[in-house]
Amino acid sequence: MKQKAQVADIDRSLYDFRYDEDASDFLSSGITPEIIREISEEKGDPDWMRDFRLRSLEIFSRMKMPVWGPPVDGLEMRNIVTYIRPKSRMNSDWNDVPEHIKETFERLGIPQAERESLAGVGAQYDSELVYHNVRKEVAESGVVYTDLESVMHDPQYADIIRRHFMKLVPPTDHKFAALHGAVWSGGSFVYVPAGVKLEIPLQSYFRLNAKGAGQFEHTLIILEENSELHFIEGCSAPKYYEAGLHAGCVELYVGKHAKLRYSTIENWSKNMYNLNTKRALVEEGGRIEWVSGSFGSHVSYLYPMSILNGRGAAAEFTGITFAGEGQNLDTGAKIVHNAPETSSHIDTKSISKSGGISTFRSAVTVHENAVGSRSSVSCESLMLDGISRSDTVPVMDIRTDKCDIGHEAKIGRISDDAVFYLMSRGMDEQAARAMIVSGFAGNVSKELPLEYAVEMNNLIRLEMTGAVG
Amino acid sequence: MAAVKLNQLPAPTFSWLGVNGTEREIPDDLAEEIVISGRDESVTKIDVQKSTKVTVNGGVDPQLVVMHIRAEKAVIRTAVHADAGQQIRLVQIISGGETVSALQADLAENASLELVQIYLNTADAVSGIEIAMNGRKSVFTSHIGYVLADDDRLDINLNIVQNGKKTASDTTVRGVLRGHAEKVFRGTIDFKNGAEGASGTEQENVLLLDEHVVNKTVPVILCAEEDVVGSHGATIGQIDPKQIFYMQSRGIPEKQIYEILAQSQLGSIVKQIGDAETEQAVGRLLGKEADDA
Repeated sequence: MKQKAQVADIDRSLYDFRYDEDASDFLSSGITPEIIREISEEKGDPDWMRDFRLRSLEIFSRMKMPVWGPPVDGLEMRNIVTYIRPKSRMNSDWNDVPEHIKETFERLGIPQAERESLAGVGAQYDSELVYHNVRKEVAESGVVYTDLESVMHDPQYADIIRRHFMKLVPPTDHKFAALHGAVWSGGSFVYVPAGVKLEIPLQSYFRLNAKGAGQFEHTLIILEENSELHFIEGCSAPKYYEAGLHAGCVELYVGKHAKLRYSTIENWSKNMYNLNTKRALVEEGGRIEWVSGSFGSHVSYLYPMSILNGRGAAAEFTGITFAGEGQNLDTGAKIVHNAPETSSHIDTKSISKSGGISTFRSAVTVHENAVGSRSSVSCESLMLDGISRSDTVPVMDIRTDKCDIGHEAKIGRISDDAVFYLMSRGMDEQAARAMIVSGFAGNVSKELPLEYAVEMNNLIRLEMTGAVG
Repeated sequence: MAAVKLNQLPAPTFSWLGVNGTEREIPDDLAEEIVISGRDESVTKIDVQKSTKVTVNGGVDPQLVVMHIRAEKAVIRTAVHADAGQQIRLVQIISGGETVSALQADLAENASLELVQIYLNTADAVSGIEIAMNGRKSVFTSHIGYVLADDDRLDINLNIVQNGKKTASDTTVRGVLRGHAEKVFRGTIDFKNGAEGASGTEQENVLLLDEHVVNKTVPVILCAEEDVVGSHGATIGQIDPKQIFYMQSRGIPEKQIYEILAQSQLGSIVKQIGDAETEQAVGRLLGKEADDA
């Protein structure tokens, strides 16, 4: 009779701490024109942004919920608090950040990472950024890394923001994009001038501490011609019984022959609905690389889209999704080939355990003008028990003959032969299974910054540890 | 006639892709009903030119049923029942016209169904195939080929539901698109919980010969069982330039090269028919298609 390794739930103590909030800082829950006006006033929006928010609210009100994907009926929008007043203004000196917020980010290792290996750091706590800083030499090269709210009032950049904000992801895109347009708050603006190549990454970290709240940060990155950037995004929240909502938006403009790597480790707590939208527009010879790890959330809808808009533009998506007990993670990628000789590659792994549901969903579209384009998609799924679920739903929509498109997918469980082989070399069963799963996820961990790769492997080892029964 | 939703994808996806299903107006009544049972001859050939319901029941001996569907406008419903250990091979050649075809099959323990479907110049064909593999060790093999040109339309929805333990499915799809032809192929392998030891594979290969063709491929795997092995693959694109160069270097004109390669694309599917006379007839239709092109 077969014996199986019993898989323990992940130890979330690193992320699962919280501080009590002051109720007077919360705006009323729900989404009404009055609340939108109040948010706009709190944030000191220019008129065009206030009007944009109100238009987005109208779109949100008339749009329907998606008719595909995981159920979101546990999300009561009227109970979600969309904005929490900050306890402090944004700081560029870590010592000025309020003590409990500082402690939060220190426990998550953020300032340490900044000192050791980052060109700049942004930290958002609930609805607003509390800290933003870039190294002096990076700022001197002309790189701008700051919050959207202040740069919107900067005469040098105000027009750039207006021309780019929610142009790639318009509020009409889907219901939660409209919600984002109405209530967005916080996030980062990055501008890299032509020819500037940042060799060390920038990182933004988003922490949602408040109970029953939403986080709606907006990240806008513009890379001019021949520039390079690696941007890292991390997110976490403590666990509550009330549903939380993350409906962020990321818009990336990659100029001619520029290169952007966007890495995300998403580790929201398992009461969160992660309904995030990410999109990149890539010009001639440019390149976007997405590296994505999805470990947290109760429900996720996450499919970064790359629009290859210039000749020779390229996209690469490398992702892993780990769905455990109570999780329904629907992840993947979308690629639009909209110019000649563009290329794309999607490589994903997903793991399901303890009743978790993991779905890989993708769309590769090749337009008539994308002659000479190439695309390959590879997705592999691993089922760790018989009570979980793993689905694969890819679509290829091809509208030119001069292209080469390939797709392959596999699903299965850990091979008994592989476990037997490793055990015959002296490993116990748990270690053998953990090694096989780590190897399965190897394509993603090798693309991550070292400290994240170590964290991911620790996470997998934790998941796989347990008594054999 | 009322518009009916057809070919619904078992796991719907992004609405803007337009692949979650289709709609057609179909007549309420079927003109004719044909029942083919295991007591009939082991090879049965029927010519279908109007709306018909065909029921195929397996017998003691292996059954081969060949249906040539060539109606201007028709609805063809086919039901296949394979009881324990029965073996059925069903060949459906669908050419021309506006056709809605719905095939439902249920397979009992150790039963097997081999399906060969070839679509030739279908003006507007919608084909739904539902296979219920309830019996332990039941086997489903399908070979699907299509050649479409001009403004031809083809919409296929293959849904293989593997309930039984140690069931095995294997699907091969090969096609050629020319002119302004549009094709959707949805192929789903659905491993239900309890289908221990089941396996399923699916492979589609599409050759695109003109710049205005539209190809949509949706290979889905749904899995609620740990002890299964599933895979799918697709390759879509143009003829390998090396192949063209090689054949040109042997003195074959370029136009003829395209015809040879288009015919060879379906050659392996035609060979699966298992009836020499039908294979030759399909070969002639493919040749005519090439001449017309």
